[in-house]
Amino acid sequence: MFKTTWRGILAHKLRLFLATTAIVLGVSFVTGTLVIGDTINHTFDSLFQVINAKVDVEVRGASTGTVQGQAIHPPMPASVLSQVQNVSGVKEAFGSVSRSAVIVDRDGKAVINGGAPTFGLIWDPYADLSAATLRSGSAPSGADQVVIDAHTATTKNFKTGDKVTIVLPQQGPKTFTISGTTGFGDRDTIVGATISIFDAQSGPALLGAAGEFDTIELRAQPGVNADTLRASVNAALPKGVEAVTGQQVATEQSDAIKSNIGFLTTFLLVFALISVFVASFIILNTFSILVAQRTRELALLRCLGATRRQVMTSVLTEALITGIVASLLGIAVGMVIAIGLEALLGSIGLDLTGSTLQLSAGTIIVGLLVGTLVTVMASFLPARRATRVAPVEALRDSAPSIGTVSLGRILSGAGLLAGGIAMIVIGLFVISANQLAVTGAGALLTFVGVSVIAPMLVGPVVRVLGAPVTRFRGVPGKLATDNAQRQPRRTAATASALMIGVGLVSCFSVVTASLTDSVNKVIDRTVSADYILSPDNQGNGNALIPPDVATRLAADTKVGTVSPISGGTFHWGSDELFVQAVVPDTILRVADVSVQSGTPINQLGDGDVAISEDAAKNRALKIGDTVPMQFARPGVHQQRVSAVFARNPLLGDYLVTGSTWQSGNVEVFDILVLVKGAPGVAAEALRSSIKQDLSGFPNLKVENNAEYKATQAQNVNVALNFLTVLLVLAIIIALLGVVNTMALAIVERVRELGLVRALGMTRAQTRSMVRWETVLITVFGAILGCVVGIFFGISLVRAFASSGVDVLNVSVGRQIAYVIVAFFAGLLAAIWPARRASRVDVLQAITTE
Amino acid sequence: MRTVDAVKVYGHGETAVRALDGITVDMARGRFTAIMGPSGSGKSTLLHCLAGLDRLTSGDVFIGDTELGGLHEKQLTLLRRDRVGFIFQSFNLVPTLTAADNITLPLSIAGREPDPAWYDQVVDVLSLRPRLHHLPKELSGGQQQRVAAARALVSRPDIVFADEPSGNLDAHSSQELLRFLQQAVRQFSQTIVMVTHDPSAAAFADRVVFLADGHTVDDLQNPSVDAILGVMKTLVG
Repeated sequence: MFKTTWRGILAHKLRLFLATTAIVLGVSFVTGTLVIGDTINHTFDSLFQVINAKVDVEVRGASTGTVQGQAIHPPMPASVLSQVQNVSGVKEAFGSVSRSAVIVDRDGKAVINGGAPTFGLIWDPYADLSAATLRSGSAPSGADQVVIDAHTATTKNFKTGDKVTIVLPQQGPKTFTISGTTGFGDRDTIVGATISIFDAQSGPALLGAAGEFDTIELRAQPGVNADTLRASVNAALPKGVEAVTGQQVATEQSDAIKSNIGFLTTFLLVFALISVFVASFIILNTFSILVAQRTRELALLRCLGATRRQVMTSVLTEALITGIVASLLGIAVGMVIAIGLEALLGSIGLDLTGSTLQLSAGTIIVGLLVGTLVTVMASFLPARRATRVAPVEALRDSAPSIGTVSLGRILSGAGLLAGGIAMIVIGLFVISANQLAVTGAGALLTFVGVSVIAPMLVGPVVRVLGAPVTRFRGVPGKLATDNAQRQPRRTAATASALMIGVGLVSCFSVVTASLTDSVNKVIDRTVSADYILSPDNQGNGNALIPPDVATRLAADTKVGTVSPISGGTFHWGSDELFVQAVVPDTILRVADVSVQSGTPINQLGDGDVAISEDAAKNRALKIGDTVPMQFARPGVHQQRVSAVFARNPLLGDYLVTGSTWQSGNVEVFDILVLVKGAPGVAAEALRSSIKQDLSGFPNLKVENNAEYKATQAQNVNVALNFLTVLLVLAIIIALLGVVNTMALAIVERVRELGLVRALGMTRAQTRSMVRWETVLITVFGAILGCVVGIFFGISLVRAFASSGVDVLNVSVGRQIAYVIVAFFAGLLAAIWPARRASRVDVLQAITTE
Repeated sequence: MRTVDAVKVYGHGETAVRALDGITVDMARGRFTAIMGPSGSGKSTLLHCLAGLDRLTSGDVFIGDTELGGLHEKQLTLLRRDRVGFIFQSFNLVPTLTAADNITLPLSIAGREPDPAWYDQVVDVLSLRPRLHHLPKELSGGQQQRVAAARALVSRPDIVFADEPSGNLDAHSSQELLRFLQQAVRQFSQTIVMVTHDPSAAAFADRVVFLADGHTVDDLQNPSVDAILGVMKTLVG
């Protein structure tokens, strides 16, 4: 029996190739993702080991909370340095500051590598505590010298002795002389970050940390153990400052970054699983068709005395062998995918160059298991169907059968669909924990449910879509329409695979279009400023506006009002919340804040907080209550609720004064600066004056409302494009599935194709017939996808209504575009099957018995 | 319809098989010709070459004044579409099309409309009217083959080729079909060439050409079953 199986596999190389391709692609994305995840982890582990290698003990401010999983350590007074220097066992102590400082390139543009940080650091005077190792030149000396990372120096063409402009956190742009370039171990930079290092004396002041240190790095006397030193240093420290070993810092930093980037690997893994999900549709379909085509052969085996079990074993063994071989190939291709993902991550600032790809045993096992299990499971149903056919019946049957849809299928499909929708609704609107998992599972069920009832939709939809095809393409068109309908299950399964990818893309378009419209609405309604200043890389925490910008603008006579908006995270107990900080005197002149109760915003005091109606409702707050706000610096601010304002996504839920925010935080930047011209100043005159004031600030954009809205929309579209790129693989798998189904259908219909050719259908007409059938399948899949996607999108938008996405836009244009793309994708997918169909040997086809 | 020194060789070198070894035969317009011969005599090959489904190794095939060897692939396809009708042993209907659509398929492929009077006549003579809107799987074997016959005739081709048309039919359906083919020749002067190994089927023809080993070996006009059996005995013996 095994021999028969093996012969079977070898005899159908083409079929094998097609079935294998789907598995390979699914497995490769999973492996690629796991490989990239391991590589990221490995990179950060080794990186922080290198950075902290020489540090025995680090002194830092005790944590005041965490932001997105990362502990905040407030700075300490500079006086702590002299205290720890006197502790016995300390050989060297070096006070360090780590703030944001943006390097400006020769074209006047900020050097920001995607989302990677822009570090401004202090040069270690002992030269053996920091990981920085000079590549050229010398250490910085004096307030006008800087050392920059070798990566920036190479890519931006800076050499020792050159001048470079650096935007400092509070003073704004300043020009320095490059005294040298540095690497970190054998790396040119720390995963894409730009690094500027200043001299120990003037550095803290340049970085806006005069009289403060963020950390103090210590090196022990020879023979003193790091743990012992940590204990004795800790004893000498004032309250709110702690000492930890360098080893612990390395672990903490690495873990923090990993958990921060962990979402990225999870995110990629979700896309990998989507690909596997799509691939399993294709595998299921392929094996169904293969087994159906082999029904006669299997029946013959049964007639010759093979038991059901033997036939079943034969089919499953074939699946097992195919699955294992394809999974191994998939793992190999996965390494290629990992290289692609590395490039993709590089484009968003996570630079992994110089790291070797980590292929772990776990990855290989997961890849093998996923590919093999999916294949065996996908072939189980068709195998069972094959064994249930009475042998004699199967032998008699000659023409490929025409499928039907059973009641049981409709009921189970409807059940799955209802369950899926219910889970989505519960996930989005009812529960607050595990939202993502429940909603995701609901989406999965919905897809499966739709694919189960899709065969029922094939008839009506294809008839409607096929009408114009029949009309304009005559007989080939009519045959294409009929063929697309003859096996609804097969057409539906093929189209469903495409539905998944298209559905997700379509869903994201609804969300992004709605988001853009919502943002536009808020800006239109609330912002009355002439110009909005924003950082060039928004959404990237490192590109922010130095406070100096607002100060410079206030001095301009053409400017009437300047109102900066800052803000960020605060903690209320263990809850991490967001607060916006405004300047009460000016905010109402550039923005509309409608207060429902309490005092107007222009009377907001430093001890006050204004809250949104949502916050008032959710937290049961009323005027006069206090909100305990913990900012980055130690100490809780008890803020009195002075006003409740109408929901306004621009201002969020909590509003304090700019000075309250500054007093509680370490690095204070503005997020936006709203500007209104002095009376009688024309808009363009104002713009050029602002630009002149801000020459030297490279990463700022001066935009009027319309331009600002366009930029926001563009940022949202970048995110949409990123997601689309990730889903392209799922869509490619689905299209291969279409090619696969068509190719197998042609093998199956050889006689028919030969017949119509014998009756006078030309090759071109035959190609046209196959082409239109393919297009009908892809367009059907895209329509299903858009319908499901729009439903998902609407659900998500409704769920985010309270977060400010209160305008629904189903982006009809994009949805139509997806269907049109599917149309052309169908033409593309049809090329090869159509060619095969038109090359059918007429004589052989009609004489084959 | 005629062939001149038709030769068809399959394979080459030592393994070459001469399926047709210089056949010259002339089939008159408006006549019903049967081709008979034992298995491997070349009768199917001859039919395929006559119908433009296969090409001769050497020699010529003419339909009217057209020499098929000189036509390229597309011209051959159009020739089949416009001037030739087929009836196969295994019906070969398109399973997704109704009987009516199957009948008009060659015309539709060519983008032509059937002549309504002729169409009605063919459908009625073949008693297919009540079954026109059924799919092939809903028809009996005899009905399916009558649909195939209607399809071959409805475009009024120059010539109809029938390859064992009664091979898959019971005795009754077989008689019915052959009688109809005979009628098409007598009444409408349709030219029909039929390959068969069944003497009782061949007896419906006006003439029987016998093949053996790629040669024509005998030729009977207005044959009776007995006469045919007689020739067949000599071939076997």
